Amino acid sequence: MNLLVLLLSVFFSSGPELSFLNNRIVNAGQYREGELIEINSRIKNTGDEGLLIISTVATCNCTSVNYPKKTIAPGEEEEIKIRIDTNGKSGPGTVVVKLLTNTIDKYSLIRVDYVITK
Amino acid sequence: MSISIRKWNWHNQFYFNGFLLLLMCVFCLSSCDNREWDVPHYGRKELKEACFVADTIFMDGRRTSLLGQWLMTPETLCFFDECMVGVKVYSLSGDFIDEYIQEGRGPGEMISPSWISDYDSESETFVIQDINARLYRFTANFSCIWESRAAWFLTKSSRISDNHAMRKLYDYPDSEAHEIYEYNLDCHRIVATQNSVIMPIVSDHIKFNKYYITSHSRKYFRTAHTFMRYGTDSLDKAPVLFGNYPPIYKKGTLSMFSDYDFFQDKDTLFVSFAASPKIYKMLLDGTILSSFGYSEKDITSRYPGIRTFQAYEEKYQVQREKFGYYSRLSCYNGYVFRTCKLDGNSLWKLQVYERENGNLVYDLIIPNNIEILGYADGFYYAVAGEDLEKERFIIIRFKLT
Repeated sequence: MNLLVLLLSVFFSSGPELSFLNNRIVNAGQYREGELIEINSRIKNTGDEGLLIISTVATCNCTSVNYPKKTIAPGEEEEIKIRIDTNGKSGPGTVVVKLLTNTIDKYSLIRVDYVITK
Repeated sequence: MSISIRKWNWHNQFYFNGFLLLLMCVFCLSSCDNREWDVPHYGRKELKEACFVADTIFMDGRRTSLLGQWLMTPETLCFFDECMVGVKVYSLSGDFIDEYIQEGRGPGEMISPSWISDYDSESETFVIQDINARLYRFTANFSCIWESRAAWFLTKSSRISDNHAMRKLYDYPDSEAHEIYEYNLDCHRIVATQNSVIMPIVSDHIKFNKYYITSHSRKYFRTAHTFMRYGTDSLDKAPVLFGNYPPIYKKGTLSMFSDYDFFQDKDTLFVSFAASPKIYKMLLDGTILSSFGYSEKDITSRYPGIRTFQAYEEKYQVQREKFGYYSRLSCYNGYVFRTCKLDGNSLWKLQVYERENGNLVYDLIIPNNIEILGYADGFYYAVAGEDLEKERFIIIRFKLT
């Protein structure tokens, strides 16, 4: 019986799943050159196994990403902090942060659109 | 006294003659410069009554950045994500079918595919360029039938290569090093045929010649080439640079409107520049043959000039909103399509010309700028933007009736 439950749980297990609690595509609005853009993105593990963010890559060197290094338990919520340095930037821009995770899809993206004025 | 007056007159005459000679030289040089653009202009206005009615197809973009390029094959619409390796393939009705190309360095994998050509219906293929100068040719069902490496590099950012020497050359340019070519990011178009690829380029890099802060950007438009052509069977040879900006760019300093779009029809290229109402037909060596096309009456073309590329970066957004310009150019099913933004508002129009005779047959108001991707089963398919809230692509399909 225990073996059957174990087999069924393995069969029906969906694994870890990353869900965004706020919009994944963020319109950060207007900033003056030199100001810091700070975006906090809340995520939740909506799967049934521990979620791990392995690494992050941003499309711009001006971006730093602070993400939870621990395993996020099923149902647990966490925050990803994105900081964009706007020095030397002007006009509209976009930064995309790619999260490498242990989910089936492997990658999740957060996109930040902004406009820099002088 | 009289001698001194005579001396003065002689000098005066000498300088005056010299000045006249200089003026004539300048006049001759400027007319020689523009003579190649004085070509026959053909086509008439034969407008038909029509209104723009389109079906909207929403496509799921939840696992993408919604930033990238589209490609239409006879039966599919493919999205190449700019921020993630991989191609998402949808049916023409908008259903997700499959995903191709993985990130990596193994067979069938790519590191950072950056340029994707239009689908060539003659060879039934398209070309993808990855970093490190690697080129791939694919069929419509994503079988890679050819793969090679060029002897030169094409850049659009520091993601040129993971080769340290190349990255250093990009950051600290050397005018003697000719193996790097810069892709023109404003153009969003690559054309590939059976044996060759044509790309829009920035041939006169602002880092080399200090146009960014010090020089007059008009000089850039006098000297810069607009296209690069390379044979896919001769990648060891340097690409051929050809094409220039039309006279309107040489009179003014129109960096805000320096983008252009083009398509290839056998041995000719059709090019439309943002600031020029004419659509030019040119040979693949840059020789201008003829032109057609009408200006929109709500595009005044009174573009203000700027002196430097630094000013361009500061004023780009404001000027693009304020002034009208010509945008996307494409050709399907015997019709040439060109989108135009009108002055001072966000209204867009779609001009439709007959390819054979250059006649303007439709001039339609459209909701926003669209990029026509292709023609299938009696419909034209176009990208009309993204719904960022619901994370989906907006594709439209329409008929010309």
